[in-house]
Amino acid sequence: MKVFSSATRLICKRELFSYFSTPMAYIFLVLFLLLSNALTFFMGGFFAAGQADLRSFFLFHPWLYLIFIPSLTMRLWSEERKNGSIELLMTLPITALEAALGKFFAAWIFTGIALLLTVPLWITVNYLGQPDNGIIALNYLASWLLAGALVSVGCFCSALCKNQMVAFILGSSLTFLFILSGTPVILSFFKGWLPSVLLEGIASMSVLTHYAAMGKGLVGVHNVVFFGVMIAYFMAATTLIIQTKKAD
Amino acid sequence: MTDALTVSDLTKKYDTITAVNDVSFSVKVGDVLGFLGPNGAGKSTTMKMITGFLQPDAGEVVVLGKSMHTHPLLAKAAIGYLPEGSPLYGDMTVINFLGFMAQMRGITEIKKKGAAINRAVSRMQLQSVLRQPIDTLSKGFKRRVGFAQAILHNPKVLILDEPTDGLDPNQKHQIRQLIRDMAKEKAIVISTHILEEVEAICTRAIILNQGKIVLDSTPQQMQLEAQEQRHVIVHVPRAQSDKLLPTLLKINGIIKVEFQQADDPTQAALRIHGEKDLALLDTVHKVLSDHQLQASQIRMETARVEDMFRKVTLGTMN
Repeated sequence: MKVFSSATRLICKRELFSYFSTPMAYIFLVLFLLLSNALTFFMGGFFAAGQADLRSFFLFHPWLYLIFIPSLTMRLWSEERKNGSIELLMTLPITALEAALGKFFAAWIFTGIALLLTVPLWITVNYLGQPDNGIIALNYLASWLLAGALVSVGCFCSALCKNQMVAFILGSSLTFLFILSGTPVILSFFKGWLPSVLLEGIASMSVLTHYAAMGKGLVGVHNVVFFGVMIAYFMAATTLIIQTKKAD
Repeated sequence: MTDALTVSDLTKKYDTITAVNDVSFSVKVGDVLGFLGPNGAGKSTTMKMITGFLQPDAGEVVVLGKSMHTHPLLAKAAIGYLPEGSPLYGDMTVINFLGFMAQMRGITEIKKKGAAINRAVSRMQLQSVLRQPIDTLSKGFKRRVGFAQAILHNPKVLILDEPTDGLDPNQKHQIRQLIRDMAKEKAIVISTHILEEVEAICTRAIILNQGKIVLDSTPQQMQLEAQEQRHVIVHVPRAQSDKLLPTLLKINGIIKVEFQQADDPTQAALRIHGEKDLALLDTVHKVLSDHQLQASQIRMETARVEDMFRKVTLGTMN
């Protein structure tokens, strides 16, 4: 099976085009840049730290994604179902998986564009000092993988809901759980009555753990695999939902 | 000629409701099959199963020898489909949308793609709106864009779900003309609840009710059958109608006589139903003259296809 078949490529292209055909994409990009920079400088203490690195920049990405990615993915399937064009799409000689992947890649590429636009910040820290550019590159990769995993969660939620707003809220909530599950707040809730194997399982489900580990330069294969498996899992679920629920 | 589309024992259930119940028919190239039925009769559901959008609970759809169940991609490739209400991608321009649909249909070579789009565009007369976003188009144009995408790949089987619904009379006429033009080379199934449409373009008509085929006939046959259901209406002075009634009912071949309100309060209107082979009008004339009654009005009415439709879907004729 080809992951990027011609149908997937065409749908991806159409969805990307669709993002940029409305002002939404530009508002999204501007807001993302403003917020990510504002958080870096004002809340992250970029200058106070006195170090030429982007730690304070990448620190906030999961929390930015919490809002941005569901808003990017919420319309992918909800809109098709609401206006009936899903009937047009799914009676074409293509498979549900091809369609699901096309939409997923479109949103993932969009997050990649947003990340690329933050590169001036990288140039800035190089002007200010001598950062470890390898680590920064790795952080970018980790952030993009994290975005991919969360996009797949968003696709799944959009496929579930006919209403975009509901898809957004569901997507945000689910993302929130995936971020939080490694934090003490959640773990202390389960501690005491869940066996430790399950507790560790929950902790290792956190995207934050894997994102942070990669960002420190500890690229274990398992971190990359974690994001890959998460994407595969949610894309399979999305495909299944489209196949069974498309006409509801 | 072999059948282009064969539907056998198609069934779809939703919880407790059977939306489509054991529907079977086949369509040849050159046929225009009209799918009739009240709203909720299962027309759209049947079409969604034919096009592979919905999975049937039982039964099979075969398109040009390819089963929708075992070879969905091949079967889908042979079908052009206009879904109900003609949903489109509103943010695209007409030309971009048609280009996208052509490529999705595997028409990727630039020359072939151009030719396919040109053919569809000129047939649907979309030249003037090619660069417009679909959202800004009128309903009639949107429908034509929906049509254009359905015929891009020159499919042998066309499934059109209420193609003229919501259009003005001129647009309706135009769409019907298009369907007639394409009928020779394609097997076409259209759904509608407009009976004149079936009489105007269909070579065959199926009436669905509560998911079942209740009539499978031709529009001409339906018309003939409807005409056999005839009755005579006589207006006589109210005082005399009581005298007339028992006499009429004694005559062999008269099935029933109904009272109706006449516009003039001094008059009574009688609706007389007779058997097929009875010369109804002559009989009524004879009775009137035997009793030396003066009818202020006497006329024969035949049922229309509409009445047929009501009869098979509601169980009543009038």
